[in-house]
Amino acid sequence: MEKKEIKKLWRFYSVADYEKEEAFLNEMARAGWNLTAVGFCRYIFRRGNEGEFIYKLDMVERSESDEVKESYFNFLSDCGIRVVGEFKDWIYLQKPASEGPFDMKNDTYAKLRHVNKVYSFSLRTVCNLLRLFAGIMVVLILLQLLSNNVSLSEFCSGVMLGVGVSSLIALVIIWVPIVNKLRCQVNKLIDDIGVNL
Amino acid sequence: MNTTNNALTEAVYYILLALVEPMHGYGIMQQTAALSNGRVRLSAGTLYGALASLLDKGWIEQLPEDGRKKDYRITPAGREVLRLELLRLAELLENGRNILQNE
Repeated sequence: MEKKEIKKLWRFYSVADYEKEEAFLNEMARAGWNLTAVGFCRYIFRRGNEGEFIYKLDMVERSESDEVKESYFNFLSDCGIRVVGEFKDWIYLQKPASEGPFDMKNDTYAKLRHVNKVYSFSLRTVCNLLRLFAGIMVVLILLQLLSNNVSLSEFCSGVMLGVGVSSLIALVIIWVPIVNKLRCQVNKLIDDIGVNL
Repeated sequence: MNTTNNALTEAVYYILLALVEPMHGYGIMQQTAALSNGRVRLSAGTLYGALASLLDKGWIEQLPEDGRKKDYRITPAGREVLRLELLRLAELLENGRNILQNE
């Protein structure tokens, strides 16, 4: 029987749980499953040698120009690091385990820079959601004002109430804990650096 | 220009020291690890960000490109920053030694 060479797994990690996500990818690599592609909550692995590679998550703003991104990707590849997957602003880095870890264990500055990137990404996402939400509301209000049709107008205000309340609830339930968690991480790192000493 | 009495981070200090010789990014990582006996390991992300901000401050410059790899070198302003940092470190060291020796 042919041995299975590809494995597809579904996992959900919030932006604040990138360390757990990294741990998951590195555990898979230790067991001989190397990440080859990433999608929404989806990870594709290919069978390889056990413990050959290590993985790390990094972030590049999608709004940044291709030139900036390309120069960073070239730099990474000069350092022996391959970008194996991209999703939203996240990039997934791979490097041979034999060349040592990605960075120092206790580099508080590096951690702070990283958490800060993740923190602003999550705030940006919240702002985008709010903008989308505001856009939908404006359209619905205009529809309601412009229509002479009573049932359409009632329909619009119903939808408006439903969409409004549920998206605000979703925003609070999903994003507030994430943003809070990241803020705590940032504060802890700032304490570690000794700014408050 | 900076420098009143801001301490440099270890990463910036070693990057500036490494760039007394022209060098590309990966070379800086290796040089830093070698100088510190493997204690200071720059991650690619840290180094990339640090190079950009050092270029911005004018403490290092980029040499005309030769192939794909970019070479960097310290500027006179960067050397001045290193000189002031050495004075600051010498002061710390001297005070520490004096007080602890007399204990």
